Amino acid sequence: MPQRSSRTPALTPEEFAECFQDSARKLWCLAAAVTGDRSVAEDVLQDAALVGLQKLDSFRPGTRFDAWMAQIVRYTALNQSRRNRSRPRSLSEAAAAGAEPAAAPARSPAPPGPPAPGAAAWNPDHFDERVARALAALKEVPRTCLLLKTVMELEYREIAALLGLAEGTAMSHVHRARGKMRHMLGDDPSRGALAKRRAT
Amino acid sequence: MTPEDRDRLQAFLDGTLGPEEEADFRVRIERDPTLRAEVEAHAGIADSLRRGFAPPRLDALQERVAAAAAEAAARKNGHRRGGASFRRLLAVAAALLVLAAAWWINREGGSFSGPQEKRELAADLATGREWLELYDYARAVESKKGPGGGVPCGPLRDLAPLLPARSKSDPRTGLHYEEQGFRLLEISYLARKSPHAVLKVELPEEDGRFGLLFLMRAEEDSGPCLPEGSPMHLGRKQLGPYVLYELCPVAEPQALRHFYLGEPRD
Repeated sequence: MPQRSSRTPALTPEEFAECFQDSARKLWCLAAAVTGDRSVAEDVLQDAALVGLQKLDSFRPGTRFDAWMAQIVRYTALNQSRRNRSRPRSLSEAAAAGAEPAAAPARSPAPPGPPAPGAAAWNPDHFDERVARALAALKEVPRTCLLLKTVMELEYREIAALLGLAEGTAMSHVHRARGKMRHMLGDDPSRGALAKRRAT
Repeated sequence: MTPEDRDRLQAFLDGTLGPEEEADFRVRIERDPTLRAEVEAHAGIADSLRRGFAPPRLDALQERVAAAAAEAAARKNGHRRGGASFRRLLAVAAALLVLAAAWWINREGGSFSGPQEKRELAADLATGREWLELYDYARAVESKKGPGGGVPCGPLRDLAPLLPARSKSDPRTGLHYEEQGFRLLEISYLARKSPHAVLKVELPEEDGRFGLLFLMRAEEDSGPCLPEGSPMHLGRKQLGPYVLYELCPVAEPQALRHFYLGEPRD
């Protein structure tokens, strides 16, 4: 990750673009994790990039670009989630639309349960619906930690830096999130994607 | 599974076990069906997450961001290149502009072609008390900042002596006008070319929202120029040699209409 010297007075737009390029995938994953909806992640990331470009002066030289940008992405994504929540979509509606659902509010987690009718239309080639439901039932921070660890394979110190957490807290979130996912998905792991992949 | 097993399982999933520990753990996985099932379950979940949330190609997004950054850099570099010399140039230009404006405002006959026209325009404007208040404000600022004062109130100043008395008198200005006029927020522009003046006025009955009035010479007015589908409304009235435009969002009540169309206020 490019880091700027503490003598550098400010981040230039060109440096921003360069750093953004290096961090884009990680930041996309963060946006997808916070919203729980990969279909809006790119838009969120673009909005966040424009905000970042306007706030270059708030970047402190010598600090991590990705951590600074992650804060902007996270706020942008949370705003997006709030907007989506004001227009609630059921899972079946999302399935019918061929899109993934927005993150469920933490107060009312959707139980994993059996796949809903029509669930096969919901991105079946890429994501197991039961896993998606369990993931949506997690709170935002544990979900984000879990995805950054699992999908981006980041070290805990990197996750901690991105989310402004202690390293141990990030680890704890990941471990608990794994446990909850495992618990919600019941005792039949063979229904998971791994078994399906092996079957094919 | 014991708590110790669970800790070791998490470390295995994190990839933080040492080589020997990992080898031992793999042997245990092979021997213990419960542990194996647990590992497979976690691996299945992780696999599903990786496939479901794998980042797509972001080339197009990165290009858009790079373009936006280049644009921002060009703006920034433009400002920087200008620097102090640009500010000096700006100061000279501003001084010249003030001199030119002062000459234009104070030249013979002001911005009007003749006394008759001026009287007609004054009478027309006098049907709206707001102009008097606008003039009041403009004159007050002018007296504070000196002639010109950065407030281009030439047309209003020329008209003031011709305006008929109204129902109320203001002891500060000696002008007569009714209460509850618009509050002038800003006169933002006046030039030889249209628009001569852009007057931003607060609509006291509209919860702090504001309206914009454009005053320009009729001969320079080419008619409404809002693009089709614009959310703005453009009201127009000719006042002697001048044209007055009101610009405001369509959705808002036309609070200014009574002013230049003679319609009663709601």
